[in-house]
Parts: sequence; structure tokens; C-alpha cells
Amino acid sequence: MTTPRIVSIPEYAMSSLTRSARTLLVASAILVLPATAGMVQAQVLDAWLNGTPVEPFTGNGSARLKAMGGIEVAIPDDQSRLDPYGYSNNPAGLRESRDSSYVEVPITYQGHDATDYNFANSAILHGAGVRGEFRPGGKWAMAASFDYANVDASRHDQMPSPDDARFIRDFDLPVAPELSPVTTDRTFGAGIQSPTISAIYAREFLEGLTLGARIGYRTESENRRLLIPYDLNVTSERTEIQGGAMYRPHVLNSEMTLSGWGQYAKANVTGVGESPLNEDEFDWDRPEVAYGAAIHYKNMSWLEGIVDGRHRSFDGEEVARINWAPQFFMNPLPGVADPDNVFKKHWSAFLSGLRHNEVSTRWLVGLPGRPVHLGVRWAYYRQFEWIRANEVVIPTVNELDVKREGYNFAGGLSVDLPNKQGVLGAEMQLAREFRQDFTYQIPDIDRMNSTFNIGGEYRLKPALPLRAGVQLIRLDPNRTDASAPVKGTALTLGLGYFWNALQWRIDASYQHYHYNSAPDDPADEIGFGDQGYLFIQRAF
Amino acid sequence: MPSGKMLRTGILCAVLAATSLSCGETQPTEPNPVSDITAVRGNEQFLNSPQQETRELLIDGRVTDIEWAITGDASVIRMHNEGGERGGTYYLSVRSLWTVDRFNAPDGILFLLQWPDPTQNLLHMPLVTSADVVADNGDTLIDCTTGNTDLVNPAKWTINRNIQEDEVLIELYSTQSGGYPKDLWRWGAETTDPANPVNGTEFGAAAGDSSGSLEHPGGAFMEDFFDNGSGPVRDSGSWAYMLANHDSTNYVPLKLASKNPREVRFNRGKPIPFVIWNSVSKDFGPCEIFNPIRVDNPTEPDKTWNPGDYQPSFRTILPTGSQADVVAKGGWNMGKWGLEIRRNLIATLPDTTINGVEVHGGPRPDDVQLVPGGHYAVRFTIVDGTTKARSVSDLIPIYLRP
Repeated sequence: MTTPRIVSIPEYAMSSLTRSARTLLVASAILVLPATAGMVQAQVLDAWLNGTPVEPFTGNGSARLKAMGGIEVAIPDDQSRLDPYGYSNNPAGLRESRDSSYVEVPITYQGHDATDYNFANSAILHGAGVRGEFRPGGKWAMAASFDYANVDASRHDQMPSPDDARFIRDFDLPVAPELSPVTTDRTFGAGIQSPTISAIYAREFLEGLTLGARIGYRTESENRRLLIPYDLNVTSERTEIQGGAMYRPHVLNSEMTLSGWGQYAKANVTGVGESPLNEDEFDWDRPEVAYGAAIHYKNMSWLEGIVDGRHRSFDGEEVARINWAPQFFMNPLPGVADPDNVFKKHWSAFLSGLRHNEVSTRWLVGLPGRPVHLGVRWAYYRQFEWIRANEVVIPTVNELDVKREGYNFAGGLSVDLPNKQGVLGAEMQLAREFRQDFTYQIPDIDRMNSTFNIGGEYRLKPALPLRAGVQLIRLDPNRTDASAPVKGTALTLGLGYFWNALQWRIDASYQHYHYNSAPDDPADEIGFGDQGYLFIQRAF
Repeated sequence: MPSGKMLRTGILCAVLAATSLSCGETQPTEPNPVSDITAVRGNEQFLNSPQQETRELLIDGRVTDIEWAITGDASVIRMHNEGGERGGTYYLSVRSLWTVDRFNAPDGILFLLQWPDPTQNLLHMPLVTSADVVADNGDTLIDCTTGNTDLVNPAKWTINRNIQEDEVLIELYSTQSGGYPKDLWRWGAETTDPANPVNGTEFGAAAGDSSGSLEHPGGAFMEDFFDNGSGPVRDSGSWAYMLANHDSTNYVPLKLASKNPREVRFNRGKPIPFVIWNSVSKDFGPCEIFNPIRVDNPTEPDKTWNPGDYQPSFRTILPTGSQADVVAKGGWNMGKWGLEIRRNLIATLPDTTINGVEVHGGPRPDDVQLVPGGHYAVRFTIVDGTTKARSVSDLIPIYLRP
């Protein structure tokens, strides 16, 4: 999996939850689908999209499955693969992941609005990308991708708040120092641009042993909007270097692979506060190490499954470099223009860290002799994240000391229609997370979200499938409170077109969802959104 | 062959490494700003020009480099909001020195506090009226000659507790670890800061109001408390704002700013919008139809009381006794407060004459006495009048470096 956000959802889950499921995960959701293998993890976007179903990558997942009610595991799909490359993001898996070369262009629009306790929060993402996978022979393969996302997001920053600061509690980016106490709720937002590039190479060096490498780079620049005198904007850079190996032992008819990978990411987040009277830099370096392993089994006739385990961690420090002119409003020294009154210092602003461990598995069973597929996925994760501010300087971050522990399940059934006329499927998705706050600012939270997804595909003509689906949404932001779960519905529609002569494939999907709380719920929560995906693929 | 024990140990080590592996910083790499206070030695009188002119360290609210440059870099102290609210943090810059007099004897300790505050708040809970003496069309609405006493009607006066002055509290502990006894000094932009002596030459009939004007003519006096561990108790003597300007039963002002018959200036020259100088004030009665604040404002055509007009809640006097130990003066300029503070290292009782023999006063029992070379602790509290936010510092060690 490529794109773990430093939030609460397991990375594996990112790969499998579609936006519908993530609609459930109003608290935090990350999706990493096979199509995103090779993507570089977002840092700034993660924070701004946390708590929304908007994905920080363009074209995550399969537009086909999204159109079928957001089913994720019950229907086999080329964009939702279980192999070490698609599921585990192991670059060594690229060579065997598919058998052709492809050029793909995903385009997406995702808009989300939510209101609870009269706090309105929103996120809109426009994204597009281009990806290529080249497999000129059986010995080696390479892939490259470019992705661009533009996000406009806003949220409320009151903490504590009646909704347990749902949209700000895990906002782990530098924030502007405050001279006056923040006693009222405020809305602040940002526009973020984020281009990403990556390249992957995999080659079989010995019989049964494939080695692969990936390098990726992502930069994010944020233009923050908050009506306070101190203007702080954040940029980030992240360079990932990953190496992997995949071995196919001569057992089980060579239908099993063992794979492992390791990754180093040079990651930093830089806050810059600039005005004619100040020039400040908050440099947060947090190099990250990650590694994982997977066992994949694929019986061509009826069974495919993978068991994946992974770890990722970082320690980091933010160093503040402050340069305030005498006239700057935060400078405690006199405002008279005198070099002695310049407040120029640097210090360690905070220490941070993350430990994330996760194990997951997914299986897809095609019942022999029956047009029936059974899919199931389960994952368990445990994560610690902390940001501890230096107590002798003005804080430039919301402190965090949190443990997140949860599991994720999806299971369902699909039936192929006769004469390859299409497929029908039904699936249950469930995500649960326990959040324990050691700063004691926010009570412990037990979140459970679930959807029941029904969808199908019908081929009007062999090259023209129509797709539709529905989701029944049930969100419980905190099971320990007295409020009833929030309920809603999503409607999905889609269309595909296959131009076999030139091996073109086009998939489009649209989804609208809406949910609201029970009439007597004091949160008076309403959420809705639209998501559209366009996926163009050319096979060679 | 590796033993099973070695194998298990290896697995355990691998698991432990896996849960802790990272390659970033786990300890701060940059030093913290200096927040401890070191009071350096200085001279109470020093030479400041090629002509060998001497001058004193003046407590006048005007921060000049020549006075404070000797202290070196200021200590940077984070003020943080009290009460669990978010934000409200800023830096307080503190400089300090202790002085010797011309005979090289320990004399005083001085502090310079500087902090950002976008707005200055010089008024504290003023008395506000709804009375209107003259209508906009010129009609007289309150005429005391007809027996109308509306101007002093308690129903016409309220107190606005939402307006508060900027305020500083300094707790000075007698040990480095914050042990008792401690001194507590309070400065208020309205309640204590205007209480500086008046110029005896300018105000010929000032009498006691010019006491101390030859030492620190611009310096006012902080309110002084002593705490031996059972709670702060005011030092002996009267304090600067001890006279409430209203009865306990209502908020009708008792006094208004005025002037002595022999003076041409109101209120001993004190700012009328914030100060009623007690010794020259006059009684407020139903026929006092002019608002002194409007009278003193040449841009205000209507000098009578209008709805929303106010009077200070306090009358100001010069403090006496041990309440006059701590001299301080604040100055607000370009969004920053600067507060200069001075107290004798050993606050002493006044000299007395017993049986014709002059006896030097000993140390005051209600003050923490300071000694060069000593280690003490101090805590600062700043209350911003605009936000009402109370920001405090940690307990800061202070060392009087010999």
C-alpha cells in the first residue's frame, strides 16, 4: 500500500475502502487501491482531508467498482488486484502484476460537505494523472506515473468542541502561534496543490526471484486562509526510495509468492510565516522507515488470496527559526526600529513520532462450477502518534499523544449473469477504531462505520456496460455517546466502453451520497457529497 | 548450530527493533531560549556623556538603551494562558540588574518587563451613566435648580465590569525553588500606574502629592503584598487606589476631577479620562452638570453629561508606608508594553528619632529582602484587559550575580 495518511485508517483499508465506505468513515479514511501503487504518500493533504471521504490521490481505485455501489472485494476487477504490487505496493510485484502494458489516465472530482453542531466543514478535490506500465518481455517491467491534485478545504478549529473536535483533533500540521486566546470557533481553510511523480523498475534476476525498486517524489504547497495577523503556510516534500523482492518457491505448484519490501522516505514539512515585518521558518524533518512482507497465493482456477504485514515509523523534530522586526506585533521588544530590538532566535519547537503496525488479508474465491465469487477482507492495525511541544516556547502545533487501534472488514458475494451479460454483487463493509487520547483534551472515542453495498453491471452491448448501485450508510462517530448513529444513502451510476480494436477502455462513475443524524440528535449532522471518476486505459 | 534460546532471543530483538525503528531526531537539537533571569550589577548613578554628567537609572516608563544595555540579552519567558484555554501565549522579555549606590553599597533591584499587547487598556470597571443633561436639540433635561436630582439618581449609574485594565502581577519568592515567604507586586494601568508624585514646582500647593518627586519623578508605585504561605496580605500603608469612587450601595460617583483654587490645571495634571486625583477632587452633586472629561476635551462641544459618559471607579493617592516600596512605571508604544520596576534590595523602615537619637530603620518585616549573590524565584502574570486572558509564566529562577 502506498499512501498511508498519518491518520487513523489502516493503510490496507485505504486500498480497499471506496469513497462510499469512506463516507462512512467521516472520521478518517484513506484509500489505497491497486491503481495507486507507486504513489507517494501525502502529508499536507492527509491533514486537510482527514475526516472526509475525499481521497488524497487522483483516481484511487476502480471507477467500475465505484459505479457498482462501491463494492470492493466481492467483484473481481483489474483495478482492485490482490497481488503484491497492487495490494502491498511492493515494486518487485510489478513484473507479474499484469500481463500487458498499459497507459492509464484517471481524472476525478470529489466534493464533500458536512455540518454538525453548526460546524460546517468541506473539501473539494480536482485531480488528474497519467500512468504507464511497460512489460516488453517476461524478464522485466517498469512503470511511471504523474499525478496532480488540487484541494480546497475548510474546517473549524474549536477544541474542545461538542463533536470532540472531529475535524481538527488529528490535524498534525504546524499552526500559527496565537497571541490572544482563541475563545470562539473559527473557520480556517486552505488551497493545496500537489504534484507527484514516481518510477518503478522490476526485473527477474534468478529463476523465481524478482527484485524491484521505486523512487517517488511529492511536493505540496498550501495557501492557508485564517483571519489572524500571523500568516503561516505550509509546504512539504517527500522523497521515497523503496526496494522489494518477490520469490516464487517451488511449492504449491509455484502458485505462491513470498515478498518483502523496505522503504526510506525523506520527508519534511515546512511552515513559513512571512510578512514585511517577519520571516519565520518552521522546519519539521521526519524521515520515515517502512517495511513489510506478504504471502500471496493464486490458483488460476478459483482462489486468490494475500496475507500482508507492515510497519512504518518516524521520529521528527521541528526547528523554528524566528526573525521578527521590532515593529512586528509578536516581538516583545520595543517597536523602535533599532537592530537591538530585532527578535532573532532559533529553537527546537516540538518532537514528534509515529509507530504504525498492521496486518491484513484479503481473499477472493470463485466457486468451482458456479458463477459465484466470494470476497473477504480483514485488517487489524495499531498506531501511536505523538507531537510534544517544547514547553518553553510558543506552540506552533496542536499537541498529539494518541493511540489508534482498529479493524476493518469487508465481505460479500457476487454472481455473474448468464452469457457474460454482467454481474450482481452485495457486500458488507465495516470499520471500527478506538482512539485513546493521552493528552486528555478529548475523551476516548470508539468509532464504528458500516455500509451495505449492492450493485451490478449489465452489458447493453458487449462493449457498453451500464452500472448502478446503492449504499446504505451507517456512521457512528462515537459509540460511547448517547447519540444514535447517523444514517444515509448513496446512489451510484456508471458507464463503460470497450473499444477492442484499439484496446481502449473507458470507465466513468458518479456518486451522490447523503446522510443525516436522528431528529433528536443534538449534533443535527448533515453530510453530502458528489464524486465523479473518469478512467481511460489503453492496453498494448 | 544455534540453540533454541539464541533463536528466540534473535526473534525478540528483531521484534523490538521493528517496533522502534526510525531514523529521525528523538531529542531536541537546538537549545532553548534563555529564560532564567540573571540580575547583573550596575550603578545607581552612572556617567553618560563625555562631559562626565551623571544620571540615575530612572523609573519613568521610557526604556532607554543607556539604562538597560548593561543587562545584556534579555531573558525570553513564555507566557501561557491559564485555565486550559487555547492560545493566548506570547513572549515576555525580562531584563534585570541590581545596583550599588555611590558608596558601593547594595542599593536596589530593577526589572524591565516588555511584552506585546496590540491595545492598551487604561480603564478599569468605570462608572457609566445614562443621564442626559441637555438634549440634542438644546433642551435642558436635567435642571437641578428645579429640584431635579436625576444626575445622582442611583438608577442612572451602573458599573461596566467588562472594561478592564492591563495588569501585571509579580511573585518574588525567597528561595530558588519557590519557597515562602514571597512578595507579590501588582501593577495596574489605571489603578497604580498614574500614582506618581506631581512636580512640586509646577503645583505649588501640592503638599504631600510631590513626595518622592526628586528621586523618580515619573515613577508610580505598585501595590505590595506579603505572603508567608498562608495567603497574600497587603503590606502596611495605604495603596494607590484605595478609595472607591462610589458607595457600597450604588454606583453614583462620589468625586469628580477638579483642581485647587490656586492651580490652572485639572487634576494635578493627571489624565482625566482615567484618574481622579483625590486630593484635588470635588464632590459630585446634582448640580455638577459638566463632565470633567468633556470639559478637558477641546474637541467636545457638549460639556454636559451624556448617556454613556463615565467616571473612574477609583480615586488615586500616593501610597504610604511599605506600599511605597516598589516604584514602577509602564509605557505603551507601538503595540508593546514596557514596565520598569525598582525596589530597594533591603526595603527598610523609615528612620526614627528616639530620645533625640536618630535610629536607622531596619528591614521591613513585610517584604522579602534580597542579597547580592542570592538565588530567588519569580513568577509573572499578565492580564490583558482586552481579552481578559490571564497569562502566567513558569517559576523562573533569578540570580543576583555579584
